[in-house]
Amino acid sequence: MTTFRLLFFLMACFFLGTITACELYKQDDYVEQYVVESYLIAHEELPLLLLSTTSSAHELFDFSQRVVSGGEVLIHRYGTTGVRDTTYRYMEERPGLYLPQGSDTDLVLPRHTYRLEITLPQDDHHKIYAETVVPDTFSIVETVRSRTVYQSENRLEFNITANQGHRQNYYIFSTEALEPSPYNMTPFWEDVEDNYQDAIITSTEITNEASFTANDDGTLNLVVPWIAFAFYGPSKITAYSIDDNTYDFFRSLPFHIGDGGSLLSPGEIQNVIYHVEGGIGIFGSMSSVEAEVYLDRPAEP
Amino acid sequence: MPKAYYLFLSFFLLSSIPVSGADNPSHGTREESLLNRVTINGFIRDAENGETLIGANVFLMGTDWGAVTNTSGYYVLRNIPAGTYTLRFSYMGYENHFEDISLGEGESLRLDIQLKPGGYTLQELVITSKREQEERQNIGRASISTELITSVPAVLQADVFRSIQLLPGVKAASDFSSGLYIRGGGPDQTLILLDRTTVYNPSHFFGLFSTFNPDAIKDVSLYKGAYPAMFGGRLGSVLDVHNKDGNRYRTGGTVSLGMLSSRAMIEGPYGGGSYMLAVRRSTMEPVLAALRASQDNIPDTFYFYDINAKVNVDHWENNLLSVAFYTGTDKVSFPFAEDANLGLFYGNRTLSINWTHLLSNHTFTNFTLTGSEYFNEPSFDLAGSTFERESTIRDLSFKADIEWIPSQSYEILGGIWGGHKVFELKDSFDENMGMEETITSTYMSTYIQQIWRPAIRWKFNTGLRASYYTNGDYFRLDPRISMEYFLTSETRLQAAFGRYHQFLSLLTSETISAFDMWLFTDDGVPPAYGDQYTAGIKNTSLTGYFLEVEAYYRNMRNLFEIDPFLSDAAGMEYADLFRFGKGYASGFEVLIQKNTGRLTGFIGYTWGLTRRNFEGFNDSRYYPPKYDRTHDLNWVSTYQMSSRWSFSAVFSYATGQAYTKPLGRTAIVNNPFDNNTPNMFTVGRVNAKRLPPYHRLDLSLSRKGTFFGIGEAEWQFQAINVYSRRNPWFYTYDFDYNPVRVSKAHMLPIIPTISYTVHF
Repeated sequence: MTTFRLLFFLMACFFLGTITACELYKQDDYVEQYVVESYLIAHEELPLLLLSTTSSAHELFDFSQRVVSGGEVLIHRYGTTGVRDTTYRYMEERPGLYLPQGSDTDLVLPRHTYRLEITLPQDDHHKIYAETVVPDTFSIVETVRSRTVYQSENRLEFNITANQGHRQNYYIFSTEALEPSPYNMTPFWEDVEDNYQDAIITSTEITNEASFTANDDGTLNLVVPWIAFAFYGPSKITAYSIDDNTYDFFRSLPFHIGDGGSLLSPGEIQNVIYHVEGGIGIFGSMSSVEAEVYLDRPAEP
Repeated sequence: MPKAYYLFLSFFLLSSIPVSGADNPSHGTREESLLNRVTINGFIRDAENGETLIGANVFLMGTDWGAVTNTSGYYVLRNIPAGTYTLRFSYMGYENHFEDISLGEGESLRLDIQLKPGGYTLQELVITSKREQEERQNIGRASISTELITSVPAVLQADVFRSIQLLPGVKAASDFSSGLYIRGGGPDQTLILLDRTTVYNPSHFFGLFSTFNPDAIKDVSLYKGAYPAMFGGRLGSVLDVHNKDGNRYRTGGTVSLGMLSSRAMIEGPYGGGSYMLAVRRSTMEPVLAALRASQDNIPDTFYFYDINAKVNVDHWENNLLSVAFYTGTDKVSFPFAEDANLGLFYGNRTLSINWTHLLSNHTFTNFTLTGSEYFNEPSFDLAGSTFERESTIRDLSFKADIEWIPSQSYEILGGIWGGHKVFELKDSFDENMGMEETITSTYMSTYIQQIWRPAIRWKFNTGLRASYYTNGDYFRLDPRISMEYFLTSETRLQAAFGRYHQFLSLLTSETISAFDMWLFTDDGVPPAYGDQYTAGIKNTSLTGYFLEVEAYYRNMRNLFEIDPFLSDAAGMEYADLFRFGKGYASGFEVLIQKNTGRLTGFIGYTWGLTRRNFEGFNDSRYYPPKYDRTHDLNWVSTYQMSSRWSFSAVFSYATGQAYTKPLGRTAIVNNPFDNNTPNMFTVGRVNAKRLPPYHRLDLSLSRKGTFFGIGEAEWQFQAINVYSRRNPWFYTYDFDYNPVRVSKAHMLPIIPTISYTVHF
């Protein structure tokens, strides 16, 4: 029995060793956080800013009850050389919604840095910071085809300028149906969407610039995928070139509910990637172009 | 690399070099001329079908001399003093064979032996030699018999990986996954070899089953950790699977009808050797066709198949030649909505040509030419917009191994493994090529391994493996050492250390393995590496029982995985596709096994702790992966009620899997891109909560009989999860409700199955 005694002694030692040496990894408690939401679009007016707080995950969520009033909101603009040239003061239009004060004519400038600074006097002057560099603008240089028959060989195509930057561009495409009705939905969307109004404006996943064909003249050939169209008829297509904050936020957003639909294990939830100091949310920017297209219903077979 | 590391390398290599004439003194004096001693060598085979037996034992009765057959079924007894002896040959599940021999000085004896199969479950095995099953009980090593694979209850069909998941230290991600999670490592950390050839995605049916057809398999060995220098290329473990050679004496086969798939195998002799052909195919089409008439969303196409074939040439006494071939494919076409279709098409093909040559009676060589291809071509067609991926690995390699046994107390093994891998990835959306990557890499590894028994009670196994990958110009050294001390004739203390490097990473989902894709090291993506420390004790003091306790600690550094938040890889630098991290795992395992009597089986228990850390995730803190389970218990038993009836039960219990509890929520209310107002959770510590414990009882009842006098037949009636425990898999959250509605995704409910097998 000596062997067994030794065996169990070793087991007991190891067991005690591993138990006592293991780190504590306990569930932490909910902490309320400030949430910022604002998007700057190049050559458009300074945007509104929403300020709110999170709620506990399993409580009734009512955004109007989570808004934060009394914030002192400033946005500083820095030139391409990095020197601050302007500061915009925001005023609270209604609870939680802040608008720039007296700068109606000021447009968001591409390639400029905008730094958000929020002070909350009611919370011991808690500070929230975020910063974005507005992407350069781009334009449609040629409309190859703006009207076609759905799922025909002739695709809707545009050639767009490739804006210059330190990295390749990331695009999100948004399609807004201009004459939506439940009777002119395309078959896929009709099948998957219960309420046609939810499909009036749809968007694509983030698409990298390298996914498009580069033309010899340096422009990019954009072929609009059929999945972008939920309705026949006229639509407005907007292409957004997004900044790093928007890129990180929207690329991590689909995977935060732990449903196993990603490379994360089912049940594992990682926070969305925020670039907000002192809070969460998004202070992003983008540049955009728009085009109107028309989609004809294919003839019945 | 630190100087201390090189010092350590030098020390352990030098320390293990045996002194001259280091044969155990108990076998003769050093003065006695080795020239006067004799050598006995040969192959041990199954008497009924001629299959070589891997890990069979040879024992020179009345002495401590013994040997174990290698993976070719070959043994050597070296430097035996001349005299008259009785040799005993034994193997689990076979009758012992005794051979009286008388050898004069300097003589050699080639003794090929055939063992008759016996009912091992009823047979009383008497352990008399400490060398018995020594190899099989090396530290970190586990073997699983094909009898166990086909007898334990299994989900819809017998499966190799499902059986392996019952062993301590091995976990499954879920009821739906056959992936092997061994000692804190993911599926990519296990090297899977079929007839010495790497298999890259050994799964069928979304990952529910492994590709290995139990009818075709002869031997399954698992090195759970601290594996020796003869293997390499993975951080964690090695699964070494060998297919049957085929019956060398008569033509026979097996036909098995199951609910999910059916199998057929034929084997037999031909003029120069033997052959084996095993085919398995899913048989769901009639069911799907019937469902399609009344249900929507039924796949148009859904099948899998695999074919194993092997041909042996036994024409020469000192040469064995074999050609093994495997191919397996899964195909699915699933129109999940109007104008939308999901397509899956993936599979593996392997080919190995193996030549075993006896250079002398104590020098054994093996040369293998291997080819392995894994392809995966998933596609989504959404409203005429098509996403297509073509991912392929082609791996052509050459292996040469030599095993030299200069004395009974010293063996030296060495080898090289060189090859050329080509990885191709093409992603396209709407016929536009998004990502097109081709990585070719030439690799070379070489190892030297020595097994030294300086005294009766001691055994050292040291080795060094060097690997070089041209991609990134990575050269790495892996020292390995293990030692054993025989406390008594029934008790062995074991310890091992090893460093391991891994030059590739698997893009996979625990939910479904049909999209699995491998990625390699390259510039900016250095290989992952880790150290393993293992200690254990093995005891056989109770007749018919085997007790094993092993403890382990391992770390993992430079882990590289595809960034889970990657949205579109087009145009990105290769290194930017990855997230880099580290991890560690520790635990201990207890295995109590009963091999004799009507009631056989084992109880395996694992206490484990696994952590991962990736920069930028979970605030860069360590966190447990989902498959981390503190306690894991499996009880496997088979009761032989009579020669016809047998009953098996498997009970499993495990700590609930880790999951992340949402703490807060918010919403994006001013989305600039579409109508959606995305809701978001905020979380604290990732995977800090646990699901309820997992437990399940599976039962199987088998009846053996005959099939119209043609052959033996067996009915199997099985029930998985007999009390239909609704084990949760993960929680889902529905934001259409406010407050958010939480529901559980469950694992398998009760599943009854029936199968009928005929052996002819």
